[in-house]
Amino acid sequence: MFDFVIAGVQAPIALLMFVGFTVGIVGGFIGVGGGYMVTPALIVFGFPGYMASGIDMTHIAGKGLVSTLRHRQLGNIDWTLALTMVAGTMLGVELGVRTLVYFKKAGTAGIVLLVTSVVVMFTLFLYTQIETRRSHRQMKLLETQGRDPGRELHTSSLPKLFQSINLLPIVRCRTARVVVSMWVIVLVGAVTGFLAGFLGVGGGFIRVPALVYLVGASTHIAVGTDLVEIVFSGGYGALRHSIEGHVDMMAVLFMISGALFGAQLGSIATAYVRGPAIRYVLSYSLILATLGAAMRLVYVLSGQKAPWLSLIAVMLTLGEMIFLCLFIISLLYFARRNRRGEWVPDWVKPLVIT
Amino acid sequence: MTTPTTDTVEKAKGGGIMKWVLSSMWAYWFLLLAVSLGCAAGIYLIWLKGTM
Repeated sequence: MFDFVIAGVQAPIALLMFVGFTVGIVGGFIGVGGGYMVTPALIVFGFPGYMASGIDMTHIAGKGLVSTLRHRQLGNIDWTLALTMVAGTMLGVELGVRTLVYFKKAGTAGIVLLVTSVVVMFTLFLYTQIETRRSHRQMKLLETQGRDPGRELHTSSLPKLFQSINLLPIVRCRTARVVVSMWVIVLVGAVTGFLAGFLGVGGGFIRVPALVYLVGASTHIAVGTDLVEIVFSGGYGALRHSIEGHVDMMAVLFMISGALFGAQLGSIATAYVRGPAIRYVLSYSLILATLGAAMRLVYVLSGQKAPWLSLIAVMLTLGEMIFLCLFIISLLYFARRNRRGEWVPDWVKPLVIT
Repeated sequence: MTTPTTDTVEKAKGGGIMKWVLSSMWAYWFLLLAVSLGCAAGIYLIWLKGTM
């Protein structure tokens, strides 16, 4: 147990490093900050809510930078897309925060937040899961026909629809190989930013599917590009929280020491898998987070009379981090076995790069 | 030809179950989830039971 003087809390160092490591792997792999996992975990460890938020944001900024540098080396960042999106994101976040303040004044913020979280995350899960299973089947078919499915395949028709909007100026995103109206990117940034600002999260789990299914970027590019956004939003959030005195730097340092290794491992793992593998992990993350939020919602609606519901939510939060981490590491393990020509399950073959 | 011993049969059976779990995406998914929730329960019992 370590005494965190600023936060006024005693917490085990190993647990903080472990959380940093696991969320680092997940963040580097699916391009999210992981605030929806870390903040509840820190609250469970005994940190006050505002302090948990501050520590989380500061650690996300550091971890995001490491992941971004790795993804830059892997060629997964489209700077035109990232910088165009930042403008819309900032606007959206401001609107989201103002909407949240409105609901806070009305006294319904807690329930509205949980209901919105459950609806948004479940919808994203459903769409991502259905589309990814379809892509997985197509990749399997291509493999059985002896054709190379390439690094990416997605079956959604939405990108074509959004790319056909001819509203000037038209932006050419060379790395993402996407030609699309600037207003589409700004609008996607604004909508995802609004949800992020309203829900009080970084918004990676909304932006990555939006970049894939609305803008038409490949999953790898969506992950790398979203991490650039996270560095911006995390950096700004860290600065604001530090000014307000919401950050215990010792806790941040312990978390970052785990996250530095995790973020690099997660980012490197993307080089071994195809797009649908990343989208699968993203959809699993969404459904487990939905279940956690649904438990909290039932707990709040039941007048906080069933503490076991809160306990299940805690288990789901911790379990989710470990599950996603194990799934990513096992994909990496199978990918390496596949490269060496050793046995791997049939469902893994279309998901990993040979 | 030698008859397989109980030990080798059990080993092959064990490998078979593991291969079956690995071969089905859903079975593998549930196995990992069960292991993860078990670890989460362990973390709760070791470190967090007193703090909640």
